[in-house]
Amino acid sequence: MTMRARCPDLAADPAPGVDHSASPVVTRACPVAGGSHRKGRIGCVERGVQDRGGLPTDELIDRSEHTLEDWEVLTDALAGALTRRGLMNVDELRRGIESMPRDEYEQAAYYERWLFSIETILTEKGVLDAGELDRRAAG
Amino acid sequence: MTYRVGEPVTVAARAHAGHHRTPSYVKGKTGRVERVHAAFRNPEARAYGDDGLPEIPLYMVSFARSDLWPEARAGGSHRVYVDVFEHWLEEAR
Repeated sequence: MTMRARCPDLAADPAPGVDHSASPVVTRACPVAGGSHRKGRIGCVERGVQDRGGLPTDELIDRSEHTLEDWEVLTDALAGALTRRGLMNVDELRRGIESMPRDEYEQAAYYERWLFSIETILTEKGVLDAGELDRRAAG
Repeated sequence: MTYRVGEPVTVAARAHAGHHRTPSYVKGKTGRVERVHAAFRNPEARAYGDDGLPEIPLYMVSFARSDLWPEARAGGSHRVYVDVFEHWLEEAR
């Protein structure tokens, strides 16, 4: 869902030469725009799915520890291996996470977001074919 | 390094559609330089496969909690520390 129309003055163009078509950018009115004295200057500021600091919530933060499952450890190792081989970097990893549709992002576990990003970036670079992982996982 | 420790700075309020490390809650806010970390490759370019050069100075900037969230019910006079790249900083307004 794009709400950029609400922020025409701040609808920045993406960086030149960068294809954002695979990365839907969600912009929306900023709920904490810094008070009336700021109105008009940062009346609305783009927020990606990950840019949630300071958003109001009544939910308590879950600070409990949990044991990592094997696939989570492997995902971490995979990202490390890809980085060391120069196939992707941490900024690309983050960009891939930030490109997730909001609903998927909100429902995904931490390392599920990593997996989404790794598949996205490697497909973008032609290391993986589109749908290749699904086909191979299906046997 | 354009800014010095102790100097007030304002974070640019601009939108940026691509990957960037400047959280919305400091955009347009004025803080204080606490530390000059070093210069690093630009993650906004590296996120798209670029080498991210030239390197850009990264600062630790502190903000008064009350400046970031004046309407928050929970009070407190603590400060919030955020690392901000130089191209997001302007002279304090």
